[in-house]
Amino acid sequence: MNGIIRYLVRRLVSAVLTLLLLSLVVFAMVKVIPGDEAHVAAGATATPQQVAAMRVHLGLDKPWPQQYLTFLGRALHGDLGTSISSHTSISSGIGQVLPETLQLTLVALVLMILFAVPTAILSAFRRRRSSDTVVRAGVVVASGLPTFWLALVAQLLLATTLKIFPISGAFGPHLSVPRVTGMSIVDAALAGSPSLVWDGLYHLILPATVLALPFTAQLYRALRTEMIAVLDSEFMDAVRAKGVPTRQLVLRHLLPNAGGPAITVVGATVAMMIGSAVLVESVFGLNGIGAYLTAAVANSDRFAVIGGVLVIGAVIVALSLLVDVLQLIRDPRLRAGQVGV
Amino acid sequence: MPTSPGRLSRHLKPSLAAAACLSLTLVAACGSGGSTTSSSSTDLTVVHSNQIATLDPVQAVQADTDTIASLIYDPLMTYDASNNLVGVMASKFATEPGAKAIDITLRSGMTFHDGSPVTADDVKYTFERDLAVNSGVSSYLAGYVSTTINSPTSLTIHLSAPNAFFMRQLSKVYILNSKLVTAHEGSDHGQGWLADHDAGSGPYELSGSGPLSSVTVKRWSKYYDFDPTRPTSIDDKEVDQSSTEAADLKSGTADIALKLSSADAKAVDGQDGVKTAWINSGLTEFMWMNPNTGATANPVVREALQDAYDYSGGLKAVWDGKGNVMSGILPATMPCRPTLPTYGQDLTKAKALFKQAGVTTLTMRYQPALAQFTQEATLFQSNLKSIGVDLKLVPITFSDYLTSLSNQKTIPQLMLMGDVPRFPDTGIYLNYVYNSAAVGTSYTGLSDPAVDALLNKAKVTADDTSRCQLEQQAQTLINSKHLSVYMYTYQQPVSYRSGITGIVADPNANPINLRTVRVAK
Repeated sequence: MNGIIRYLVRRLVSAVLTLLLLSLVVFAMVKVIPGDEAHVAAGATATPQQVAAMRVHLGLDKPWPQQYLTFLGRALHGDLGTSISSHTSISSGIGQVLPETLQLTLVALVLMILFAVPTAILSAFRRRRSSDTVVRAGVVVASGLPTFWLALVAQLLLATTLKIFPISGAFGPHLSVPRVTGMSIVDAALAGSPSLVWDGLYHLILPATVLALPFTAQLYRALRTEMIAVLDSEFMDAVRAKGVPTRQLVLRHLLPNAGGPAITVVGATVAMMIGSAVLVESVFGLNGIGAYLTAAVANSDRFAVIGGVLVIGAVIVALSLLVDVLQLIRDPRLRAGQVGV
Repeated sequence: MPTSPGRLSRHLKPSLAAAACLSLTLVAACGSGGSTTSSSSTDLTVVHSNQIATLDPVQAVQADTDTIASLIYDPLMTYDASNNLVGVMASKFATEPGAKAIDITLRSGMTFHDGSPVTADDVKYTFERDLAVNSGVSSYLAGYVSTTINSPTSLTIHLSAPNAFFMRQLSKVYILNSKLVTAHEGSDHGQGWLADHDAGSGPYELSGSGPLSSVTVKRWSKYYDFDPTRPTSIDDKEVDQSSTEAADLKSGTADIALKLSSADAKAVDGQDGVKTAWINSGLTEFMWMNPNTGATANPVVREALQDAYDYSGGLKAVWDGKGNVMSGILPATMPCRPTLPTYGQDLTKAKALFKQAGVTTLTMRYQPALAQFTQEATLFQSNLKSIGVDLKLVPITFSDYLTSLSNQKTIPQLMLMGDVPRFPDTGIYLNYVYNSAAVGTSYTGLSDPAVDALLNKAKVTADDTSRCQLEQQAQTLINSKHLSVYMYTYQQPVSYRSGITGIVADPNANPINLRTVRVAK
């Protein structure tokens, strides 16, 4: 047990160091990009005196290391500073948009698992048969589709032309729900409105599918390879020899043994999905962290860029930690390795 | 019965099929359903590509903030379609002789959305709060000293120096409900609270608060100038992609698209009940020159540059011919312009002038993030190349360019950019751009005593006619100095569904002012 705790502490320290390094790199990158934050904050019509006053107000007259340490000190208290375009709290701005991105990512994740797991099982059992070949060909195509292009084509075909899905937005025109969590579907449920839950889901399903598709292919490939290896192993021969029904074989022996690499893939996928969500949100008029960061870059709002990147980094580091813990729980061999048995 | 590796049992097949198809079923089921909304045809949805950073009216210098702030808030006065200053909250207003004080009487009976009356104290509070924020519209209040409250509805604004333009810049200063803002002032002068809350008295009330990517305002029935043909509500929605905006418009899920690309605007025009209006809001393209240092210090070179550009070719290729080549130094939307010749290309004259000056290389800064700038920059490069002059193109960010304006020596030799006058007032614009005292906003860094004398005199002249004469003289003088390649004003498309009216150019907004929009019942 002590070994596991030591391992978790090591991972936590590593996560904190990763975030520190990320903050330093992003801060340095933002500082070397041309442009004057004080002038952006004061506005295009500002006089040099107003710009100078704003520079002092924002602490930009201090040396870079001091600016970084001040930023870090505030960030540790959850304060990511003030946006130089909206002049409001960046933490609160991100807090308003992040839930929408997380909701999109979660729905995409569910769709990805629902598609990938059954098709991987099907392919593993029917390997090198026509159905497997067709699925694998589809996977090759899906994994190569650029998300932005896929989003535009799906929108044009399924929303604009065939009118199966809505074109953009989180809800239909003139519909809204009181904001509680910031996730449209959850807030609709909390408002006790099944029709709005349905409407929110209806608006989310196409963007989530577009976001999920390329990653589904990755998960499918990892699972198929691992399942074939498990199916070919000697212990599976023994299981079959005992006459274990196929359903039980899949659920109790195949999936648990083949799931290890898949959990790692899913963890990495979520991180990449949050990155790709920027493009999907842009096409489908969803306003998550992607839209926030795009606007921050367009407005030269450097503090908001740093805040946005750090928050995304924190989510990814947290997910990575979660995957490690899940693997530890799932696989006794890993636990044994960690405690040095 | 044992199962072979290559076979699925008949028990598992249905499970797998069901699981695999669950998401497909979900998709199909969703596709067959969806919401059916029965919103009124007088509820409008407006889509645009830029994110609104804040609804705090102190940031109304940002066009996207102003789009909504102008619905929620009222200024003391505004400009009508003929560029005349007219009262909104003010029933009477006048600059005192000497232009050091302004007397204002407020319209009686006006209230804020929470029911509290609009008073002179609110006006005073707004000025002082905006100056304390020291950002956005506070630059329009430069020279403010104090406000004397004469009665609950009348006040006198005192200035540090004569300034006939001060009052004319108040059309972007929206008056706040002082009691409400004071209650939420915090440590940031209420900026955090006002970012998504309403403290106004305008024709629309903010509905709810939350992310500004989707803002809804509802028509306020107690507005002093209530008009039942105004839309009952306006949903302002951020949609980044022009193609998505166009699709929303065609499908009827949006009613007005503010930022369509020219190609999309033309494509939707006349289809599915959608029309496109081409709005001339005075957006103008310039290539500013630095007359203080380097090759462009020579007026012969500056004149040659004006003669080298293919004005009509650029307007056609880059802006699809939607606009007008400049005549003079101000867009045609501005009042008080003297008659000056229209610019045109004369390569023979340009070549001779460059030869006379002995100049064969020049450098121009531009912002490559905008495709149109890149097109115009390379067109100019090609024009100059054809007469033996090499133009080096160097990218620059806009904030870096603004920083460069603080010193005549750092202002780029040539800078390609678009600009739009913030007020339909010639004197204000000329003073911002050409007065040597306007360090930080003068695009050329011009320091000319004769120009300064005319502009300074105009600034202290309260009489409109006399001031206009001075401003016309200043324009003629500035035009003779060849300070920019004054290219063209271009039109912006605004596409909208039939049944909507009031999609017109407005001197107070870019490209349109949603206050003027009306719907058929």
